[in-house]
Amino acid sequence: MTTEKRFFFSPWLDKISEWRPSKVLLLLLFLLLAALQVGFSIYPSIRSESAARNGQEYKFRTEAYDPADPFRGRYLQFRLDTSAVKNRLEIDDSRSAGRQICYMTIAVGSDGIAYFDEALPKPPEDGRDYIKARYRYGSFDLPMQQYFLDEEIAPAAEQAFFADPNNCFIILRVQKGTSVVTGMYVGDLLIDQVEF
Amino acid sequence: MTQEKHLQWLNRQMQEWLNQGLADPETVARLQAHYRLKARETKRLPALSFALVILGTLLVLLGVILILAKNWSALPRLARVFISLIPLLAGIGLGIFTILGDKGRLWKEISGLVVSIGLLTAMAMTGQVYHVISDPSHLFLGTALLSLPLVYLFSADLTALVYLILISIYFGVAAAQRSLSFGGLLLAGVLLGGALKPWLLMQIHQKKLQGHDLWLNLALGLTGFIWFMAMLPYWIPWQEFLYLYFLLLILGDAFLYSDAADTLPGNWPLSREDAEHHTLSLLGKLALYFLFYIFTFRGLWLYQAQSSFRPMTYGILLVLFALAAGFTFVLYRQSKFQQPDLMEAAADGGMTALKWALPLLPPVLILIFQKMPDRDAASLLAVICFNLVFFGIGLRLLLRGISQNRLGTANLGLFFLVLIIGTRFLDIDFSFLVRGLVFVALGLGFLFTNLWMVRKSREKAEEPPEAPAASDAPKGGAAQ
Repeated sequence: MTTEKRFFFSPWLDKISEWRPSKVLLLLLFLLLAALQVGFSIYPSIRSESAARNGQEYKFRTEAYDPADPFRGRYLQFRLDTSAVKNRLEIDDSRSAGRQICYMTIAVGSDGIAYFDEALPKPPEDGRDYIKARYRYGSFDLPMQQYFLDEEIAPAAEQAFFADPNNCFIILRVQKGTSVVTGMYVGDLLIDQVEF
Repeated sequence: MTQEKHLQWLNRQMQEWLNQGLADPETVARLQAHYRLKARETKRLPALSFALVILGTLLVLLGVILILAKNWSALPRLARVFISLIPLLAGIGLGIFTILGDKGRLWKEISGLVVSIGLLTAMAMTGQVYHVISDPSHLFLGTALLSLPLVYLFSADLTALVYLILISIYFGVAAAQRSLSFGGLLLAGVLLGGALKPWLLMQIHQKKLQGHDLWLNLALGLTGFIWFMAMLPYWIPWQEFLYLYFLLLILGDAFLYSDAADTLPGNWPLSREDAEHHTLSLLGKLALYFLFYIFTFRGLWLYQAQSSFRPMTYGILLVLFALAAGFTFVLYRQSKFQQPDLMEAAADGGMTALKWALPLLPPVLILIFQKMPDRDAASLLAVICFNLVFFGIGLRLLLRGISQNRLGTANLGLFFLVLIIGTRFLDIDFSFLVRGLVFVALGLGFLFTNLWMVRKSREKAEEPPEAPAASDAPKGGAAQ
């Protein structure tokens, strides 16, 4: 008969093995965890819904194409122009090789079309609307890059974009740094209502 | 010695007791019924039941995610937010039910799995509803960290596996995005991996962590695969190379060992001894299964199979047929000498040929589909064939492993099933709605099969044991 191998921590494991939590304690711990899980899951929705209802509306020019995601379905991938952004970041290439979080302010041109104005290391204190983004090797990764659609609409929506590529817009609503996309348009046509 | 062998030994002993008059037929019948029932209750049914319930639950969950991924953009935003929370709320409800009802391990595993996947769904869907996606690495990290306490609360193996998968994805994404420095990755690895360490220690301490057969098999398969991929020259079409690779391995094994029948492509080694003695064949078969898996992708049939197979397929097909025919003939001769009945020998030969036909399926199907004018229809038919074949291989291995009480084989079968299910889940060549409905239907099928089996088992258990036939009674002795 072999002898069980013992370690310095084995007595603790023995004690933990013998510990049987009561049903009430187990339930309380589980409910606490469940509350945390639901809270973490729902908090982004609450912030986003508030931004969608009360946030300032901006119209951005964009272009799009149609890929798919296994978890979230089909979407139109779009890209907002950041080439004219005034970079106010203090780039330290020795730390994290030129990657950092940044805050991009939004301005509106004379034609009513919004654009990203400045990239700042901290949120602006003058009340201007901004979004949180990621600076990487001279370019900016924005959190809004996909417009999710019903799978039956997505290919037709992409065709609509290809038919009129210079007349595509997204509507962004921003509130205290939280941004949501509330619509995508080809001319005056909301892309969710495209006929196919 | 396994429980199956114990039972066989006990039955032989009881027959001897009968023959020697040490026990009367009624007692032996009662004993046999008792041990049959005990074996059924303690081993086979729970193992099969566990596998079916886990598979069913997984399929239903994945089906729900696919149905949600259809993006029901006609529904209001808040309705979609609420719908995205349903899997998580269902998991929490299951967890409460499990605790209040003092349910066993199976319920804890299912609750943990549903909560983890529900959490991932809820967090992913929020971004979908508002068209703003947070960093994917944070999504996986957040889900992993919020799932981890379940591993400890429920001692749930599957949740631990989900945790490992999620943090692996997090590391993968973080490494690809270079969002963490090398030191940061290392530190995160130590912390996140270390978070599971107490649970692992506890499992080992309580002797719950076993089944190294699976890891052995996987390690072998991966080693072969890595070796194969590393040495593959760029100018050789990989499909043909793979054929030669597994063929040489299997044939090499067949020529090295005398019991060549075990090396047939259709036979999977059931015992560890077989696997260790036929490692070459084992690797060859893994490569074969890998090939079958590759052929379940529609893109390959649409864009590659027709062109990359043309130059060498015919030659290799010819060689394969010649080798298979020669090998079959040798086995046929062997069985003919052992069995004077020609029909039985022919049947053996036929079965052998059938098992050899398995690796011939891809080139034969390619030749058929190459002749079809409609490429879309041909590719669809091909992937349906190969998905069914691969699913069948997995299911056969799982059932065979369970019926023969071979954990390694059962685990491998389960791995194949999860692999093909996961692949089709991620496959964008089929509609989300169609995949979702198929997954839900398959999952419900598994769950109902399990329910039916449990009921059938209970009915059998309630039946009175059968008395042995008169011819089985001992001829003379103390009982008479």
